[in-house]
Amino acid sequence: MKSVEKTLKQFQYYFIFMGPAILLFTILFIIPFIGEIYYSFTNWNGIDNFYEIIGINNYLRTFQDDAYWRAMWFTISFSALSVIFSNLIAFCWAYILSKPVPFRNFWRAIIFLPRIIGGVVLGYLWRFIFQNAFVQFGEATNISWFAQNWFSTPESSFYALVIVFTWTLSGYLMLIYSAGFAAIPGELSEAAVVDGASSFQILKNIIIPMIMPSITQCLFIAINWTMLLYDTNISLTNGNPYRSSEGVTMNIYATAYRTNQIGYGAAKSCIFILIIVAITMVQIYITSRREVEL
Amino acid sequence: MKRSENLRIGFSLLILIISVTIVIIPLVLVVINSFKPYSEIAENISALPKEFTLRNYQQAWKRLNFPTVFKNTLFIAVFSNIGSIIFAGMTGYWIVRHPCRFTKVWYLLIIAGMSVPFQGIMITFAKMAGFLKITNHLYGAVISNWVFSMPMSMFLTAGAVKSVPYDIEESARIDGCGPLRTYWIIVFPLIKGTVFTIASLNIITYWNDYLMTQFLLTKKGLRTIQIAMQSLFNEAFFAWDTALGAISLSMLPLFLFFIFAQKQVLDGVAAGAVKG
Repeated sequence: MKSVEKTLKQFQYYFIFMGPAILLFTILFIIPFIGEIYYSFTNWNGIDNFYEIIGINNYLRTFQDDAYWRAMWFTISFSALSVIFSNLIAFCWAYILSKPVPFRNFWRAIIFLPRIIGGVVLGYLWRFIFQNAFVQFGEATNISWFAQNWFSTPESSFYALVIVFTWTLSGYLMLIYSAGFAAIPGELSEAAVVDGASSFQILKNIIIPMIMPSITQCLFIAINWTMLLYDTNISLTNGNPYRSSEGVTMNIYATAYRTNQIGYGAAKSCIFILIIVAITMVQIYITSRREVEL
Repeated sequence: MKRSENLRIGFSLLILIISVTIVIIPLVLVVINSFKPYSEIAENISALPKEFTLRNYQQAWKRLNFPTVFKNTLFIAVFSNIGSIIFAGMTGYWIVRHPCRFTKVWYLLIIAGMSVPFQGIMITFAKMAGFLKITNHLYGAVISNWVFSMPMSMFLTAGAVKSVPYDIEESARIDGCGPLRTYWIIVFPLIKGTVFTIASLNIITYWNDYLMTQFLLTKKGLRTIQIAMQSLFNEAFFAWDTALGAISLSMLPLFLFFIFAQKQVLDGVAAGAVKG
């Protein structure tokens, strides 16, 4: 009898500690995830109570949907450029700040600052900068690139998004690289200095191999972040001109809610997730293979 | 040696000053121009206000319905965080301290949630929210935030619990201390540092969320700052002067938060980096 009571008591604590989390996670995460896959095989419009299972038709349709693949290509190329720029800048900042510099914490705080601005506010803030500040600056200095009519050409919308995401991501990634630099034992570089290695040799042969875990992580964060763009997309370019600067999420959203094709939208989002997971898997495979351990 | 060191510091400072200037210019321009009437903005963006005005802020305050949207956003951010601390912490703790098949499976399931972005479940999530009738209630957004921040928060707190020596809990248990008291009185104070750094990062995420919130809160009185900004920019009579007041106003709360919690936020990123 005693042991039954003990098991019951133990069960009760499992319930208290894990119950709420498991319940909520199942209802609002696991079931919607399974539901998304399920609906992707139906022709549900999201309004009626009935729908049919139409097999892989939604997927076949997605593969022939030019607008979707244009959005995909836009998102991937925008993501690639933003990831490269923000990581390069972040790495340089972290490198400079890894050595003794006056007011170190002040620089770190200011560089991180853009990260606290997010969502649609980020997009609107920059729309002002592009459409007003850039234009006035371009007219004053006669640099036509700045004075162009922003968001009226596909290129300008594309580069605008790259600039905004580089701005907002670099400071955040800088902090992660800084943590990576701090974890490198100081003796390594000191020994190399004693042996007469130049700064560049130390960077290439000691720092970069040692900081590879941070590179893996920063690339992962930056890829995910940029691939999932939505709020800044609708607020900054809103797809202009002619839906050419539309990210994949915008495309899915429009399919599911503007044209009421929940099933079709679900299929699109399943393909999108698969592509993101594939890209990040390849990235983690490539960069983590180069990680070294002491 | 000394000279090259000075040269390096000088060069570093130069690069940092240039970088910081570029980073901060957009923010400074928005703030400066938010105090100008539109004619002055159109004339010269980089000039300081000649005719200092608070009209833009008054307009923005009224059109955003700022007191209400601020209250809503704050409510969501605060209660999302409290719940996230309680649930992610307790679950993470129990999973670490009671390794068995059941806890391991759930640990993996929740962690796997990190690789499924909201975009992957949003359509069915919105239907589910409608079905559960949690739309158009602030607590609906709060509960959803608990769920979507759970993978990361639980992962980090589980990591923190692992570094707490088990002996302390063991002796507490022998002294007749139940699991709940053990967690809250002994373990929680020891992992408090990690918990608060996660919390200060989560605040930024909750505060800036748009995509999920717009599925849940559609009633006018329940708008968050982000939703109100979006509808302000979609309204007719759009003018940059009021818009700039609105942008500055909506950035201000998090900016103040960042000034006070700077250390936690910056450490939080680093902590997440080392453990992630």
